[in-house]
Amino acid sequence: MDAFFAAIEQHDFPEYRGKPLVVGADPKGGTGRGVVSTCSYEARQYGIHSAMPIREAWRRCPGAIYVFPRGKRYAQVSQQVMALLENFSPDIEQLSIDEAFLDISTSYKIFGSPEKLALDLKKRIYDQIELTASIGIAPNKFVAKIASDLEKPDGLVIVQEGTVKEFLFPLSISRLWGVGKKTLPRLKRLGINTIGDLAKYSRDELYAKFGQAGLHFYRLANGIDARGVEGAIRAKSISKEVTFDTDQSDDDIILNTLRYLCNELAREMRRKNYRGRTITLKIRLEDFSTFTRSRSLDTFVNHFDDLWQNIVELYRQFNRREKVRLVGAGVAHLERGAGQLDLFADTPEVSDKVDEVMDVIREKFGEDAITRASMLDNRHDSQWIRD
Amino acid sequence: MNFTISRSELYEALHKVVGVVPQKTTISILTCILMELKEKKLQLTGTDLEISVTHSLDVDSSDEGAVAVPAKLLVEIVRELPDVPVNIISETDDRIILKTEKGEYKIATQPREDFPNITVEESEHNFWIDCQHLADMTNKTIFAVSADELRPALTGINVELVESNLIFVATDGHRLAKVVYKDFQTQAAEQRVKMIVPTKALNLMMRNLEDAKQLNVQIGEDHVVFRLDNAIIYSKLISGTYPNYERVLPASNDILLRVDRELLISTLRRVSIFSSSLTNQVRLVLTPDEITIHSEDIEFGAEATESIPAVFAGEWMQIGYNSVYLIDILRHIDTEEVHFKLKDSGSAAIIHPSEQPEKVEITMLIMPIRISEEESRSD
Repeated sequence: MDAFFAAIEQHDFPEYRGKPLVVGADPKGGTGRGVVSTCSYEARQYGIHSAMPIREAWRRCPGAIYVFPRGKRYAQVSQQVMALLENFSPDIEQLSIDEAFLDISTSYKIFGSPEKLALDLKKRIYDQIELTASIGIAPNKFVAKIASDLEKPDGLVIVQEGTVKEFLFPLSISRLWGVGKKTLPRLKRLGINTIGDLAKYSRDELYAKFGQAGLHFYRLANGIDARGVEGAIRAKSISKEVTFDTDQSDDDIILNTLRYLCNELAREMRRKNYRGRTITLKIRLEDFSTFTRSRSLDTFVNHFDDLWQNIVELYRQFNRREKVRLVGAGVAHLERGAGQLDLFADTPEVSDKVDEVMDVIREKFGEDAITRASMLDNRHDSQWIRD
Repeated sequence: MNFTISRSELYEALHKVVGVVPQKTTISILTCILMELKEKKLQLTGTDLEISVTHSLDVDSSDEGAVAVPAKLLVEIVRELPDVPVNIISETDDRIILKTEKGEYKIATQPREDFPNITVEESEHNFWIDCQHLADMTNKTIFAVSADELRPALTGINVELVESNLIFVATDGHRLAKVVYKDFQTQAAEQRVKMIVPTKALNLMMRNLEDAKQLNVQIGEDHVVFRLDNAIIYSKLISGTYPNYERVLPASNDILLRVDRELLISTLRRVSIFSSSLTNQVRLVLTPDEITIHSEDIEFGAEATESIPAVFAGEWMQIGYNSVYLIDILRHIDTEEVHFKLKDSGSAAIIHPSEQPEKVEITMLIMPIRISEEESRSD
């Protein structure tokens, strides 16, 4: 979906249309904290983009309309879009709130051609939901995802089998999955700037330099991606964090916030069917120094109780002297599905059920329908800016 | 203090003590070994405040004195020395000199008074045990101890004396090892013993056993003392309640599986190379005369399958295990054949040697890994 959150705002509030609009933290006249979540295409002309500090956005365009995200509304529209997709293929893999893969290798026949299917889909989204979407069609998921990004908004890019390399090679390596903050500088140092540069390296050379990740790069750079639509992309880690509105020194508030984050984290892990073994606490102090503290467990977990217990322990061990600006909780070493059973695990079985039931109730009746009693006292919204 | 000792004797003695010295500590004196010369005996003591080890050996010197020497430096130089006599001299509190024919090594020391005072009280409540038995029971259980600091009770071996049974149990929740030494005759038999001993203390005890025949175990309110002729190991006990392991030992596992132990280990080793390095998961498919072991790492497209003969009393069962846990258990059984007692793919399996040693009962237990539907379908 194109500029999804911003597009929804502009749809719901006609007075925002055609104007630069920033969805994100409260800029507070240029002193606010937190980041831009999404912005309209009009705002992008000022150089504003997602994840940019809200102050910076304000500096670039103080005249823009700034709105706070309305998560529930976005989730509702997302569900409508995803439901619509089902008319075009039974094999759908939702990648995020506004992205999904469709396997159309057989269903395109009903529409005549992949291109006709895509045009029809875009029209349906526009007619029924009044938003625009960009579509990429390619022989595999990786290339399709890149293609969908290229001609936003309202784009349609089709990469034919056999032209995958021509299509990929001129693109920047930052478009490769798995190339993040850590790997990008390493690749650049080797003079690798485009996917084509990377493809010049042999499988063995990349393995020698990057280990297993090198094999992954080799496959992607050469447009090889054999994963079907269904098994979602393996994340290395999942994390959640928030920036406090004012720097915090109250342990109760900080811990309550972490409790909330653990709950969110556990839900996301369950939704994606992940269990993780390494739990990380992230703390940024008022002077912007950032610390992470991790602990690895014997087992893979995805329950609130397990995450929370460890995060509390890590927090207690972290000898904080200054005020806290941001806290986060994350899980790494992820594994899907399988779970080692525990001899003394009355509790995990119970928390399994509790979590499951809570997930279902929330899905049906909304986020506020049920919560843990321990979180009732958590008047967090007033203190946080979601990152 | 002035005495001469052979390098190898000194090195061996240091080796028995240095294990207690904490790797990371903010208290610098704990990184030292206390060297004490008294009545023709050299005593080496190390401590981390929870556990202390003292080892003594005879030396030919009627001199006296004591000083705390940085353990790392001392052990490193003694390790590198050739096997020659070493003359050790300490005239002041702040320096010790090691002299050999060819060299001289000076180490800054700390005064004896700074070293924590370890007084080991004699306890009425004690029993003697044959060192061989103790070593065997420890070896067969210690591998299953948990490293999880959040479950402190599981980070030690649970030692119980119930009537004439001496019981060692270790578990991390995923596997459990239990060894019972029956007919254990001791003067402490009428008193019940129940304590959780930290693994570090047990490892140090094992290192000090040498060829000793008997060891005296003294039990205090919150500590235990292992006393040998030339060594004393003092350890705080782990407080907390050991989980009720009897409750989780399944009683209704009646499907028997018999398999050659070595063959199963070597096959698991090969097949598990192909399992995910995070979970080490292997899948065992049991049929009446065969076990098929399968593993795969979906992420890297690697997989392996191997079948070995076995005798299975059921018709068909599929069960997932962490191969590391399973191999660990099999390695700590001595018989040629092992017996599994199974219930279903979601329940604990009991593993026994095909024949129990005399007066001993060994029970191992392993929890399965839940196998997801996707994996089952791939068969």
